[in-house]
Amino acid sequence: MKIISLLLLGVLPALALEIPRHVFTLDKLEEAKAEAIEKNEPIIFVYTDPGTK
Amino acid sequence: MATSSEAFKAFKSTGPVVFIDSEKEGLEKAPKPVAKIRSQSHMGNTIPMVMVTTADLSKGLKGFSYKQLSDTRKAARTLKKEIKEMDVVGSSANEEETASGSSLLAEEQVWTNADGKAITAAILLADEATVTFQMPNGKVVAYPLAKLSASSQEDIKALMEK
Repeated sequence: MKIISLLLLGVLPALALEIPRHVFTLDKLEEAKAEAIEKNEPIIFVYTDPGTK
Repeated sequence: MATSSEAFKAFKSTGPVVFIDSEKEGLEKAPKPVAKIRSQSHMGNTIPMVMVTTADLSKGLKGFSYKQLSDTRKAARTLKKEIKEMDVVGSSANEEETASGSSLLAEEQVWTNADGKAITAAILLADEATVTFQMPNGKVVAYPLAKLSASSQEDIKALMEK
């Protein structure tokens, strides 16, 4: 049981979604907006569950 | 199979990428054009999905469903090509969809369903079969038009004809 728990502890974080540094979160939306306006680009929203890759 | 990591990477060169946590945040805090794209029937319910807005967040430009993201890099290339023809900054005031609700088909009001139950909501979109409500908490709900009371159905049909 202990071994299974330890294995899961190692595996679960690897299954979770890693948010790259260039990706904004909704609370940083104003920063994304400023960057988009400055670079004349649209804003891309990725709607997903962080529990999945 | 589309993955969120691929979407983050593929769209990076098209514009700033914003992550919306479907579990924690939903679309309650998201700009209205994002919720509006999400409510379109072709978007389905499978994640990840991608919604694209103008830089000033005033207008939705395009949505990619999970299915359309099966080749994420191709989807990003398509978007890049398409936005060349678009106003991506969204500065034209007459097209602006503000938070005050000008993008709504109907402002928040009380509708009734066929059982007489009151539904307080604004309407984002409606067609002959479905009405897309935006609830006071920001949640977007698709509701069968036929399940509304006759008077609410008439009111919504009148709005659609405007």
